[in-house]
Amino acid sequence: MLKKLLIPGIFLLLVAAQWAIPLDMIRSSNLILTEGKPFRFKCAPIDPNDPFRGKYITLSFEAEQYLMDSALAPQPGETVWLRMTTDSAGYAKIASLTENKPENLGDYMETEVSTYLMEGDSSLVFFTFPFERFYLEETKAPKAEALYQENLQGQNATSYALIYLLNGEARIQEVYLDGKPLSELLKNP
Amino acid sequence: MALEKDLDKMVEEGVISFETSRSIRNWYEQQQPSDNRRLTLLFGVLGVLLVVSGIMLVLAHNWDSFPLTVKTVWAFLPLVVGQVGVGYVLLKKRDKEWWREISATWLALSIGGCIALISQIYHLPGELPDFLLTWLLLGAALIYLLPSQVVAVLFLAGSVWYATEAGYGYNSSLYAGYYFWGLLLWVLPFYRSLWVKKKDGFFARLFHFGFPAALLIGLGMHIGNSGYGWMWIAYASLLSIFYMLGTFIKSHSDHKISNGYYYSGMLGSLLLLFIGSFVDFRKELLREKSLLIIDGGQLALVLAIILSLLALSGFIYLFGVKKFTPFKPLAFSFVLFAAMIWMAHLSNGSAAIPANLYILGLGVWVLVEGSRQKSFFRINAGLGLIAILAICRFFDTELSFVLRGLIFITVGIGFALANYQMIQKKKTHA
Repeated sequence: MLKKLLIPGIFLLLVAAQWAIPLDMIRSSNLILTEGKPFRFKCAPIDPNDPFRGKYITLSFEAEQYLMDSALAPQPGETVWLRMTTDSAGYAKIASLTENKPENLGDYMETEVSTYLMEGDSSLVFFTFPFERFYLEETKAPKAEALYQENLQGQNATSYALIYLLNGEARIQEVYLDGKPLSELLKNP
Repeated sequence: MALEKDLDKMVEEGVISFETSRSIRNWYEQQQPSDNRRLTLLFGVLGVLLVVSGIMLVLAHNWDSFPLTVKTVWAFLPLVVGQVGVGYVLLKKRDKEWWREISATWLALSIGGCIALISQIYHLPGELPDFLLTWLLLGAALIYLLPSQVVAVLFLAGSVWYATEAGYGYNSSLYAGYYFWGLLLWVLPFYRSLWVKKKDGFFARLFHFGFPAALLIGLGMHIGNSGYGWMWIAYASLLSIFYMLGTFIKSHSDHKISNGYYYSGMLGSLLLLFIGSFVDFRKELLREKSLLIIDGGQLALVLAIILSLLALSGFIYLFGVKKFTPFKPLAFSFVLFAAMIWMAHLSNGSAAIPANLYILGLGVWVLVEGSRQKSFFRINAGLGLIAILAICRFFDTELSFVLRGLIFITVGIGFALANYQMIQKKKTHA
């Protein structure tokens, strides 16, 4: 009897696990967007030679670097926690960096060090933020890429990504060009 | 089919057990020509691969006109179809190989598809290795649950993919190696059962090549910043183990081509020896200051010791206890390689000399053996080894062009003469 139930039992557990993982991905994403704290990350131009990679646009941010004492600088590939704050214009900027997971994750964001540049006693540390891709319908993505690049070339570029932070995790909600959501701009050019 | 219904009825009424009905069905299936069964399965699996990939690509268009919930439901749909299919096969068609393989392949692929689509729809961050690991873990049970040979092969291929993404390159993860060994351990009992039951079957053959390849790639994940020299010894030992294992299986099996261990061991050992035959190899080794640091906690050292001991035990067992003939000099290359690394570490002289002498000796030995066995292939393989050695030395020795030229002419004439003589011998015997 037990043997008869074993295989269906294991299968049901497997089905449950196969549902649980993607559902948990959706749940945590929604939680960050509903209960997290919003930050406006000002976009920076990306390498124009970086080829457009399929159905998303690649974003780059001004806040993706931090100047600190060389002796304390973390190594590339290391996971660090950045405490985020806002500058006078209301855009996100890094307030401090820690290599140990803080107890109170408040405005912290987990990210990875990509590289650093030595400048005398200081090091300019660069990060790879976990929200560098913004997915779009594949036919609209090339157009979005062009709009994004065009906006960044302009004199008064004000493009930013709206990011929510909760418990060290970050989620992108929308990209804004001149204050207008990218998805709206693509609908009504 | 009448037989199908009768068997179902007999099981229902308790005349025969489910296991007996399965054996009877298997017996009938075996009666079909095996080529037919294999082809039906092959096209079925190909069909599933194409259809599931096609559905995923259509969904990956990321239809803007659909609201988020609709997109989410669509992302789950192939997964649900796969789960219902596998559930049905488990309950009703477990004894049918075709149904098991097709449904399991569908479900295994749709797991990855579902996670990828959810990541896209919700703009979730994440790295490829983490995605692959999640996918592999969520599909792992299917190998044994149905059981499914196709999923086992896909699992092995996926694990190797994970290893190359997570364990190599700039930002390789420290733990990836351990996860990878866990994945291989999981699929090992299945490979063992394939080896025991169907060792010359199509899927077993894929494993005979895939498994040694996976082990070689896995070992490379542990090359750290220090103890670089130990990894060369570990690799040479593992390749010698493959070569000896392959030699042993080869003498017990008719399907020589299925012997991935033999070929990977042979070609890999030769490659290492050729690398070691360059003068610059020593320089390359000494560039690492911590070439042969002895530190008990260092993984490279531990791996080198374990694999060397295993290779040595295999060598003693094969040629000492079993008295295997003919003697295979290549099986001994791990000791030579270890000695060379040690020499490179200790002395200022060239550690490349033993490798050059060894390859030259091996070439001559293969040539003589080939001549004795009247084998064209062996004669040319022996000459080929000597020729490659000559070409390698062309690049890094201080020999004059005249001397190099003479060496090439000698090897070339050797090729022509040996083959001509062999043709004459064959003619006189004919």
